[in-house]
Amino acid sequence: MTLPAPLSEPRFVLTGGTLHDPATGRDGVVADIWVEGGRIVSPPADPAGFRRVDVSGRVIMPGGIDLHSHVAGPKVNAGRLIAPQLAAGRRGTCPAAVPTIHATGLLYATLGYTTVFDAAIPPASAAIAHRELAELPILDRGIYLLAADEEPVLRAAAGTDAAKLARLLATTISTGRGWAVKVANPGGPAFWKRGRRGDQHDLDTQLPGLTATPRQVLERLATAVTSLGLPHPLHVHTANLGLPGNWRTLLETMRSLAGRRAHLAHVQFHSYSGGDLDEGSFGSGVAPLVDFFNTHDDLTLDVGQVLFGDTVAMTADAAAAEHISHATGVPLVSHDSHLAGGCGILPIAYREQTLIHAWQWAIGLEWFLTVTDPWRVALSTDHPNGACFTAYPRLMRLLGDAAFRREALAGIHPTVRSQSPLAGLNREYSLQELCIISRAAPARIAGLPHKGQLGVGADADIVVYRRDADLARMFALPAQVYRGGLLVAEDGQPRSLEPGRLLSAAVPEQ
Amino acid sequence: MTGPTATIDGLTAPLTVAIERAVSLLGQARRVLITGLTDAPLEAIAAACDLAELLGAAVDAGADDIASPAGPILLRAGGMTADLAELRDRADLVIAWFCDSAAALATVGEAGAVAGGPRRRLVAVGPRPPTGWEHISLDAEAAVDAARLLHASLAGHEFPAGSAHAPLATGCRTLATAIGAATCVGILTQPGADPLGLAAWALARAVRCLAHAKPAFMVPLRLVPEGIVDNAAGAQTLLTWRYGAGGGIARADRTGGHFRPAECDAVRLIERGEVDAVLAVGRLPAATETAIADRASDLSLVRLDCRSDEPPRAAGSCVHVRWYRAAGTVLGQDGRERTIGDPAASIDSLAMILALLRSRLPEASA
Repeated sequence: MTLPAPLSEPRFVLTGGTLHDPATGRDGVVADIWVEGGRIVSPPADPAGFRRVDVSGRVIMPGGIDLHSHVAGPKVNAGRLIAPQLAAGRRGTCPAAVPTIHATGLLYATLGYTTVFDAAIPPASAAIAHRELAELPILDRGIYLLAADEEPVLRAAAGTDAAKLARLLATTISTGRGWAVKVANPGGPAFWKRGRRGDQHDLDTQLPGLTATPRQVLERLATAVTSLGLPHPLHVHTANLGLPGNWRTLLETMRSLAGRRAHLAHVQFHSYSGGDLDEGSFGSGVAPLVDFFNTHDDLTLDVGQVLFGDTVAMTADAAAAEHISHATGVPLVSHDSHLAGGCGILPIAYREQTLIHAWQWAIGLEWFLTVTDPWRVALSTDHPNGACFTAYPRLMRLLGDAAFRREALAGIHPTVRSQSPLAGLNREYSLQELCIISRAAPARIAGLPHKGQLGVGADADIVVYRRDADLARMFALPAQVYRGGLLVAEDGQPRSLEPGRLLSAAVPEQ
Repeated sequence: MTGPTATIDGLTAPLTVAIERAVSLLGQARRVLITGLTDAPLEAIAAACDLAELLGAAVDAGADDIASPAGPILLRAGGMTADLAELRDRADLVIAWFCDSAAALATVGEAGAVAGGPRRRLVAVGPRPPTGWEHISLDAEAAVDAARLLHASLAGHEFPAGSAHAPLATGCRTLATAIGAATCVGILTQPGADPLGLAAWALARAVRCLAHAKPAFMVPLRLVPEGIVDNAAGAQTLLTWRYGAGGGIARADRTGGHFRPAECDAVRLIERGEVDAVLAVGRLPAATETAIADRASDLSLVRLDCRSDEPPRAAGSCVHVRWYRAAGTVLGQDGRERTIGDPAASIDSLAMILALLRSRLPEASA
């Protein structure tokens, strides 16, 4: 692709736009944004030399931040292989579920996103993942490392030497140039490697070959991550993903972590009622979970919303992937490396009239609509697990437009339509709240004080939208997108392919 | 240090002249195929891809699994893999599953992974008995049926009756007994001679079934001639993140390559005359060499490799640049990177030659 020379202006001012900047308390305020050297600056005493860009009547937000996505590494590559027809999509035609790394950057940027984190990279694969991410255009990017999949870390987490565990995590983050520590199914790899399938029932089953339980591993990891002062707390994908009745596991996970900072990943996939392995009794277990979450401020979450369409599920929780494969009968690609974790990948087609899929869709929305504090929620589809990130504008409309949501609800499986509490939820996210869950909150949760806001000193990651009553249309096609003061996309077309920065956490010497 | 050397149509030529000739051949071609890549470092593969995108070339790494009609997925479905360290540390039963007994097992032996002893049992399944291993003798053609039968046995089904299955059933029964007595089973496999992928798929299903009962995994052994860099995993990985597939790329395009398995692999593109120039980066599979030789008069060939010999060529234009040695990064089958050669010797590197070609090409095209 040939592009014009990037519009790299050291100094400019966006004038007359309507700002939605929750971090600075500006909600629909008309103000100018001054940019110099890639950052937002105070109005200068002498404005000469600042090019004026008139954005009157347009909506201005910080650049979007996806704090839980899967864009690189071995499982994403396996996803591209298993569904090549979903790797080659282009804007305007069939959207790709697992785009190439280059297309990923372009598609995110033209949606108004400027930062992305891959949420599950095995430490052993960090080097090759960074090599791939170096080809990601435009976006600032970081990775979360699956440190607890490594045998020495798991053994340390199962022991009582907190200093040793912290030291091992610090080394993993440092050598893997990671931003955060992710745990996928705490202790689960031990069951996967050594146990009989089905041995793992809850957080309190003894880990095979170790003198600890998944709950103890989880608590010790969270404490160790906090002690290291990493920007983002422990990123938790808890046990029993996708299983009926798993809301109890998530509730126990929250109880274990209460009082510590922790982030709960893709909670939609962990909020199912019903009997153990009884898919006929599948339903929503959101209510007690939200009650607990709303009263525990140290916890944050991303939803992992399911949206209908074709995609590819991929997870570092190989056991969960295999269960889904058995339950659905679709082929599974499993990359197990017994010394260093594994992953499972399978294509999936979410359908409105499929009972389980309809429940998943409704459960995600129920989470969004019943959590009281949007500052502790990050908008995500757990790309590509719930849907491709290119579906974010549709999700925003579902949240911000109750009539549209009711229309969508009318088209799903009748059992879910009648039993889900969704029909009684009339909340509509305002533009300010949509800005919070897609920008300000992810920045705060991820530990990025210079992002997700338009205050003085912030990175000049700025998105200019045309106001539109159709929120999906508005968020799908921003007029301009700036990353670090550089115009990177305009009306759906990339204007620069310059790579962004790698976000890697500094860890104290142990 | 010796730098790259070059020939044009078999005659020694200065490197700069050879590069200019290569640029001319590639720039004037109707459609270029870039192939090889599996013994090139990641840096060179990336440079080759840059070149492919400039030319709108087809790309195929010549990997076995891409050439299989079922594509790469069949070969990987359900595979539970581990490395030799896992085998060494945990497996008390090691099964060599239709491996070439001499070469493959020598590789394993060097890693200290299959030292037999009172706590470890070694069983080889296949046509030839390796020294020091128990042997279950089965013809190579029986690999798929044996895996299916083993799978059925592990799943609790009865062995089929009938004399046609008798030797197979006897062997599998012996194996099932050994597996039943083990606590952790490592199975050595040798990918490659499996044109349909069925043998690999059948065994993967059996191993995954076994893994539900006890720790079990496969360790794929790749046999690479001594002195040859093995970066097949690197080639496939990099091509996949760039184009969505590890080969069979009809047209290199970063926003989504045109993946045509068993349609745009190197051999078919050459045989059908769908390309009129080939850029061969590194060693090529024998089938690709044969296809090139068969269409020599219709094909321009630019060959970049380390080999000292050169296949005779009766017709067609050929530029052959030999680089000094591979230097850079390769990706192991276990997903870990390692550095080969002296990265500081970049002046001689393949990546530099490819970058030089790319930098000259717009000029030639114009």
